[in-house]
Order: sequence, then structure tokens, then C-alpha cells
Amino acid sequence: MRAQTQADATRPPADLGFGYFTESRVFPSPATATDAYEYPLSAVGILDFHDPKTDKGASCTAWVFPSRIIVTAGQCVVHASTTASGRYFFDDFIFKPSYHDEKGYTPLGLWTMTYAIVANGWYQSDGSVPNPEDWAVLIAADKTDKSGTHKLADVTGGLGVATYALDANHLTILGYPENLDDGVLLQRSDAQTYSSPGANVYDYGSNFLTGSAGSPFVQDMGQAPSGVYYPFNFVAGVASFASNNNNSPGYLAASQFNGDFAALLKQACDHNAGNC
Amino acid sequence: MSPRLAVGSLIFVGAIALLSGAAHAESGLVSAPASPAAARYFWTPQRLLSAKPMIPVARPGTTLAPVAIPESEAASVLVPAEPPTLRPAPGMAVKLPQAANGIIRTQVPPPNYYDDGYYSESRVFPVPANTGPYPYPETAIGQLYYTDLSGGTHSCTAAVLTKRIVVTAAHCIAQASTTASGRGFYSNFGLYPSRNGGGGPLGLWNFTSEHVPAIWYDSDGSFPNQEDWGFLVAADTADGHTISETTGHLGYQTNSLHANHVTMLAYPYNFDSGNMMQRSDAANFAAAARNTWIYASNFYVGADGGPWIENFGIAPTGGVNNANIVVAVGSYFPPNFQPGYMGASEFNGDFATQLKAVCALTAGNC
Repeated sequence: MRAQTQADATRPPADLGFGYFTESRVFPSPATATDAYEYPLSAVGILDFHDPKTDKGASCTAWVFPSRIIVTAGQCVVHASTTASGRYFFDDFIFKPSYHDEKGYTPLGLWTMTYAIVANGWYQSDGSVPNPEDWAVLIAADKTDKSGTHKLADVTGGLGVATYALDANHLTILGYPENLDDGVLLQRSDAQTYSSPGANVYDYGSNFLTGSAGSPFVQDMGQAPSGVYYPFNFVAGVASFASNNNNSPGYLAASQFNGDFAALLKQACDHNAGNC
Repeated sequence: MSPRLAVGSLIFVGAIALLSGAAHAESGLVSAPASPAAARYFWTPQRLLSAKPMIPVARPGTTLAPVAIPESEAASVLVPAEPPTLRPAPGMAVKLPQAANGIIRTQVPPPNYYDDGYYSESRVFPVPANTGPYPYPETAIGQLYYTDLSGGTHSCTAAVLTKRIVVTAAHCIAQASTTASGRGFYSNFGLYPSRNGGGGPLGLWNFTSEHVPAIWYDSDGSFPNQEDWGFLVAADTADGHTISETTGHLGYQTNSLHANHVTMLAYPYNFDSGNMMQRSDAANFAAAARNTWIYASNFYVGADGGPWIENFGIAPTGGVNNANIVVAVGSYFPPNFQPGYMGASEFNGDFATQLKAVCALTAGNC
């Protein structure tokens, strides 16, 4: 799959009136702790990282863009600041695709990162949301075993990218929010565009909270039946922030992938031969 | 045509009175007995393959209006879902012929929106290996075959709603008409729960009686209709097990179709030729006439009768309390004979009363 850029001027504006959603644990859970979720779910995982200034660890949700790239929220990769001295990258990134269950099984392994790129719109901001470009990409190191050297997407599969597709749509959000199943099982939340605070950010009804930053908002998530002529599993944005209403579920907001994101992704693709 | 009996009416006089159209049982249901044994051997591969979709479409000129939430909400009834308690019995699975690709094709890829309504669509996945059953709650949804009044065979989608009662659209159960001679119940009902391609992993289930609202039965059969839902009472297995012991059943809630987000599960002919279960997710984006509400979808014929489910799936800890609640069943499509949206009649107080009447027919129905 490759990045798809579509201005899609024919799409009508969302009415911005429907905050309803459906939420479920992704099911069936893999049969055993060492089995992965079925594709395309296998391309989503937990991203652990470390903040060198505070010496604290945290986790987000991330997903694979073939072949070596993972995409997540900017806030999961750097500490943003309006001053050069205040901003810095996090470190010790570990991606755990298809993670599930309390015992911490990572059926598709642990993947380290070799390089990270974050949008300037996030990096040089004051770190508050809504932010028009709360996204980042990282490049995963290959793994070598007896059968040879493997790129990340060889193992996980990957999702596509659709730009300008968040503003009026119906999408499936996939993530590991800590308020559901303690954040150890993959969840899905389905909704249509609900509202917008402006700044290239759009809200979707959801009950995902902390831990879901970076969760992909996927268009046509699933497996295409015969009789369908359009591509499936395109990501239109990644989760940035949740409604802050006494922690009661309400909506999840994401920055819409746009031309800037496509440029960022291209930069990561061009960084090493075979990245994309 | 089956004789028509009022629920709870044990004497045929009641039926004669009903045929006049002047009086109905308190529940507003009309009912017919069925012979499950006769339907048992009706569905040969040839008959299954020759089944054609009916095409229920909104009458031309049907207008859609913005969703307006009534100020005073009617109290809603909520009955929870229950998972199966039995594993599929040995020998239960049947082999099914698969329709060839392209029975129904929409020539133009539909956009994923209709007016202000957007939707997501996917084959239900993972697809169980070896044509095995889908996991609960998907076990409770199946493909329903029947014979119409002129002998044609058709299919709809249906769902197990209580221990023995299966819900689908009324138009999948009976022919409506404003004249007594024009209406009648269909026959040879057969449900393949959890149908998966060439397999009916939970077997073929037949029924002991069928029930539709008089509001449907006595109507002119056009859409929208206020109460396009109906009930089939499944016969137990030879060793006395109810259908829901094997399939589990979904819950239901009344007055909850407007202003909601649902998952439709169905066997539409335009995807995988109706051989596989599909899901379509959308929020309510418009109101239509006669207690019906509109959701965007690219499901087409064969999806009618399928359950529209609130909180579909497996609730995580910390998530919603009541999962897998049916709020309506698919009724009709846009008037232009193309997919785009589906309309459904909102389960209401009549629905609860009617279901209660069918529950009361035999101990253990609910």
C-alpha cells in the first residue's frame, strides 16, 4: 500500500451533529497468547517510550505504514516547546504490534526504532491541543533470524494513508486506551465526524481516553468482500486528545492528515532505500 | 396461505373475526402456525441457489428530514443479550451451495456517504476457518430463507432475540395487503444461523409459528411502514434444546433507534453474493415517515430483516454495560433501486407488547 492523496472536493461537509459511537473490544481475541490479531488489526500496537528529562516511561498507540515506518501522535515522540532549549525527543522507543493480554505477550515481537521525524507544527508549539499537526513517524530497525532479515511490515502488514479524509467521514478508531480493559487489549470505536474545534482538528464520538494517543482513524477498516471496488484500511488521522469532561467519555480528536503529513511521510520513506 | 390466528386466540372463530379486518388481539399481532417438519426438507441446494432477493424500496417521493430528538422520550424497555450455553452439536453443520459472484452488482462504486450520513463497511472478520461458526454475538445472526405466496424463494437476514424467538422484517414473513384475499403468510421458513460461505455450521432451524404486526399485515405493503418487524418461534432440537442454547441471543431495546450509532449485521446480495456475513456501521442521520429512521449504508437486498445493534461486540471492562442490543431490523432501501441508505421501523411500545405476547405462547420462549 502507498500513501494516497485525494483532495476529494466532492465530499459534502459533515453535518457535525452526530456524536454517537459504537465501542467494542476487538474480537475474537487471538486463540492463544502467542497468536496475533488478524490483519489489518495486526498492524496496530503499543508504543512504549521514555522521557529522558523526567526519567518516566509512557505508552501510546501506533501503527505500521509499510515497510519500516510506524505512525503515532507527535506528543508520543517529542516534548514540544516554543523555545529551542525546551524541546527534545523522547527515547527508548519500543513498538509492540498486536499486543494483547495481561501477561504482556507481544506475538509479533518487540521492534526498536532507528530514526524519528516529527511535524514542526507540533515540535515548535507550546504542546497544547488542539494542534493542527500532532503526528510523528518513526523508522523501525529490521530483525534478522534464521529465515533471514525482515522488515516490520513483512510481519505485521500495514495500513494505507488518506489525506483530507477526516473532515467528513465515518471511521474506525483502533487503540489501547487505559480506561478499557486496563489498556492491555485492542479496542475499536466506530463513529462519524462529530465536530471541529478548527485548526485542522476533527472530533469523533468515542470513549477512548489516555493511552489512545496515536490511534489510527481508519476508513473502511476490515476485509473487503467481493463486490467492493474501493480500497480498504486507509488512515485519515491519529488520535490527539480526548474530551476533558470529568473523564467522562465523549469524543476523541485527531489532526487531519494533509499535504504536510504526506511530505513528512515522504521524508521518512526517502531516508533509507526500502522504507516504503 | 396459512390461516390467520390472533395470538392467544385458541378458537378459529377468532380468526374469522380477524379476517374481517375489524378487530385485532390486544397485542396488535397476526399469527400463523407452521409445520417445521415440512420445511425441514424443503431447502435443497437448487432451491437455495434459485432464491432471489425481494427489493423493498421507499415509495418515490419519500423525504428525509433532520434528526430531531423528541422532547419527552417514551420510557424504553431493555432486555439484555445472552451468550450460548451449548457447543454446536455433532452433525449439526450442513453444507450450503454458494451463489456465484455477481448476483447483484452495483455498477458504480458507491461513496461512503449519503447526504450527511457516513458509514463503514466490512466483511465480518476474521472469517472462521473451515466454514465454522462466527463467534458470539455473531452466532445469533443468520440467513433466513422462505417461499412467497406464488412459490418463489427468497432470503432475508434474521437474528435470535430470545430463547426461541427470531426477529426479522415483517415483509420477510408475510405479504401485506389492504384486502383479505391479497395477504398471507409465507412458508418453508428456514434459518441458517452464522452461515459462513459454503457452511451452515449451526444447522437449519425451522419454526412452529410466525407473527407480524397487523399494522404491517393490513397495510398496502409499501415502505416506509411503522412496524416492519416480525417474529418466528423456532422449533427445539429433537433432544429438546432451544435455538439460543446453540446460538446465544441478542438483547433488545425500544425507542432507541433515533439519535444513535448502530452496527448492522446482514447477508446482502451485493457483497460476497450474500454468502458471507457483513457489517455496516453508521450513525442515525435522518428521519423518514412512519416511525422509521435512516442510516447510511451500502448494504442492499438480502440485508433486510438484519439486526441493527447498539453496542455491538464484546464490552471491555470499563466500557458500556449493555452490549448487543437490537434497536431495529433493516426494512427498506432508497427509491432509486440503488444502495445508499437503509430505513428501519423503531422498536416501540407495540413491539414490546407483541413480543410479550409471543413469549407467552409457550413456556420457555423467553
